[in-house]
Amino acid sequence: MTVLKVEELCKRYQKRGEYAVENISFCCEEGEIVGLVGHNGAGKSTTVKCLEGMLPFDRGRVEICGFDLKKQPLAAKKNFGFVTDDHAAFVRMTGRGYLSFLGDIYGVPTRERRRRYEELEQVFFLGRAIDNLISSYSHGMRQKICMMGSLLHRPKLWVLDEPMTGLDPFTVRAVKQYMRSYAGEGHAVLFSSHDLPAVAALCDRAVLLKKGRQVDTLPLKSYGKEGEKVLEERYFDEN
Amino acid sequence: MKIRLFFALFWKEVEERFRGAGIFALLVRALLLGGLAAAFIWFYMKFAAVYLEIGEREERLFELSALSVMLLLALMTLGAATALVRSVRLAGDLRLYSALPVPHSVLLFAKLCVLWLGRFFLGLFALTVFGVALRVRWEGIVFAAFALPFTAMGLGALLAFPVHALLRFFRGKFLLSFLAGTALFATGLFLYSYLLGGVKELLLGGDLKYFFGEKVLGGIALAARFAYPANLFARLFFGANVGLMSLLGGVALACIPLSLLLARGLLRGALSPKPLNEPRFPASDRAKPKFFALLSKEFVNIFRTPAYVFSYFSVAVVMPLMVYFCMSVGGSLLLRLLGVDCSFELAVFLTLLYSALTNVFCATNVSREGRMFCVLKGMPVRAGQVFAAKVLFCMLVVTVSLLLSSAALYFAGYLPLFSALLVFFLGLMFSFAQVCFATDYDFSHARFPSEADGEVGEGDGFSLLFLGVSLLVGGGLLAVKLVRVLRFGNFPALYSALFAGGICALAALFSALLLFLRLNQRYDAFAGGNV
Repeated sequence: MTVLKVEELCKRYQKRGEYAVENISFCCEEGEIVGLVGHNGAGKSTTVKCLEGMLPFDRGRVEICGFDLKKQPLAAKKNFGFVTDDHAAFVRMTGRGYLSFLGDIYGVPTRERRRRYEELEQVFFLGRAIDNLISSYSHGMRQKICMMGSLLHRPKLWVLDEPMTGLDPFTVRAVKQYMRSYAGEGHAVLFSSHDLPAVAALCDRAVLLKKGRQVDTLPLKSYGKEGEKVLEERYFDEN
Repeated sequence: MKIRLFFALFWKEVEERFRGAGIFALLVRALLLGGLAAAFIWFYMKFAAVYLEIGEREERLFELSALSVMLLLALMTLGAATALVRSVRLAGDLRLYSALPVPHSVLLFAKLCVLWLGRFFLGLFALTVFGVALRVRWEGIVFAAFALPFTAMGLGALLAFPVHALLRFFRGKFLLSFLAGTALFATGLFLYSYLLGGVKELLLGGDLKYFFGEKVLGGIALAARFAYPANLFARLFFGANVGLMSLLGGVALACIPLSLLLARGLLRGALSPKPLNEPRFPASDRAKPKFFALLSKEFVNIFRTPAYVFSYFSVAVVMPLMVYFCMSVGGSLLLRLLGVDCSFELAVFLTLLYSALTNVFCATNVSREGRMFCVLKGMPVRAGQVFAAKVLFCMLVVTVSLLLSSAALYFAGYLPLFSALLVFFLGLMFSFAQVCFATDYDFSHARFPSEADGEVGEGDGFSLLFLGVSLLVGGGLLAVKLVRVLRFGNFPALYSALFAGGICALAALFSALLLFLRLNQRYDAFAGGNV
């Protein structure tokens, strides 16, 4: 089943300005991890923000679990969880308060959210800091609470913008393992990154962007161990 | 090299104080400041004229000068203490400077110079008013204008440590901060009511004299005698005294190294902070309805931001006191001056006026959330729910405030029950209009703070706009009533109620339509606030 379908996505920030992203099309199937790769300003974050519903887009179509993001926004948004590149959270809430807020927004019952919190704590290890205000958290801890929040309702699609930035090596490893196991359970994961080895190691496919345009889609899985080399070559050829 | 660096840092500090303020905001600020200054000059001149006529003129002159300088010095010292803590200990730029090749001494000197200048201009203004009103020697005034800021900076630096300790104590104690802030504000207003009483007596012509009996004057004389060093400055106002001038100049000069030394201690603490024990706030994780979660989010975001909780909640809680004090002064003033009882119209005017001044928190309903407003867009929540929660939350605060205000007017006997209820509903409609209009405006002109935990201030323009509307509606109503009664002898309260009610209802309807019409489309298309 196709979890995410992006068709001819176009977005520009000014009415008569240049397109920030133009004609981007790709999809994520159940059990797949897809990477968005490109240099700074290639349009990765814009693409991610458009399909999260944070930014309006000018043309194209985004479908999540069969729901059109523009026509059925609530149904579409229920099916994905996302982490922004700046790890935005309500910083006056405690970690637990923030998770509880997200649980309420996504309609997660009390027992279910407690069980999922225990499960996520095994991956992200926030410990006693969960009852501190988020404003006191370090960069990495904010990243962790955002990831926990985005997974609380076990979305069909997990979208992450630059997820490994600011995390310690232990958590990076834990997140990578979690991404694999999450996709293995039949969910889809989409993330943007500069980290080519991580993308090559994790992703089934990589969507290569350059100056707002999609220049290639690489079926990394089919390359086997050569995946990283191919990705690197294509990345540097295009950039 | 160091001098160039000093000037660069100095200008940056000056710029910081005006950063983000457009020409309009600066103009409005200048207007408000000008109004405040004019009111102060008028009041002080009037007061001095009355006070100096009581008994021995020489004695009154000395007492008034000494106590005025004392008050000014206290104000400057308190201001210096809080400004030092804010600028040298808590400022966000300190972390950046600690990583730059900026000598601490130059940074400190630049910051202190800016703080000194602020005190200098305040002192110069107030002392000029004192000088004109009391007709004292200008040498003394000029000397005090330069020496007082140094003295205030020295005393302020001493006070800065307890102020910082107090701030640390209140850190994370949100309820206690709220209660303390509200109590302090209410006490300030209680004292302000005395001032209003004084203004009333001044307007009614000289009754003030009778307040200053033998006992009161004795107390004032005693206070002036022990008001060091203000009384010494006051002596300079009446005759040059080289010895005294040298003494006060010496104290002021000694305050320079004192303030530098203490401020250096503050700066050191800021640049090598000790790890703090982060307070813990165990929260319930029980499931709540979506709308209730949005509502409690609004509460938490304000309640846990000390600046917001004071300017939003404390002001709203204290608003009934403002209405009550002004009603007690204004009602009797109009009755005695013009012989017209316009309690209902005055109550409407004051309620609308203070509602406009206290409901400023709705002006940042969107900007306050920063980028989280956009993140919320990615969640399965309807635009209507997001905005209804915001409006309802503001209205809850407003309702409590207006209820207390109307109850105070009723129980104090200024209004009968029906009129008090009418004032409450008029206030509610006016506030609803204000909340919806402000939320809509903020939605269309969102300006998010650059940092996740940054704060946004409500624009001066917004406050002024609704102040103008309240003055137009409430003041207009009062004026119409006065003119009609004075010319034709009668103006039924029903007409007043219909006039105010009609305007408030129309404003509420218009603002609600403005906010909620086509909200879904506008919400989906939202990309403002520097996303």
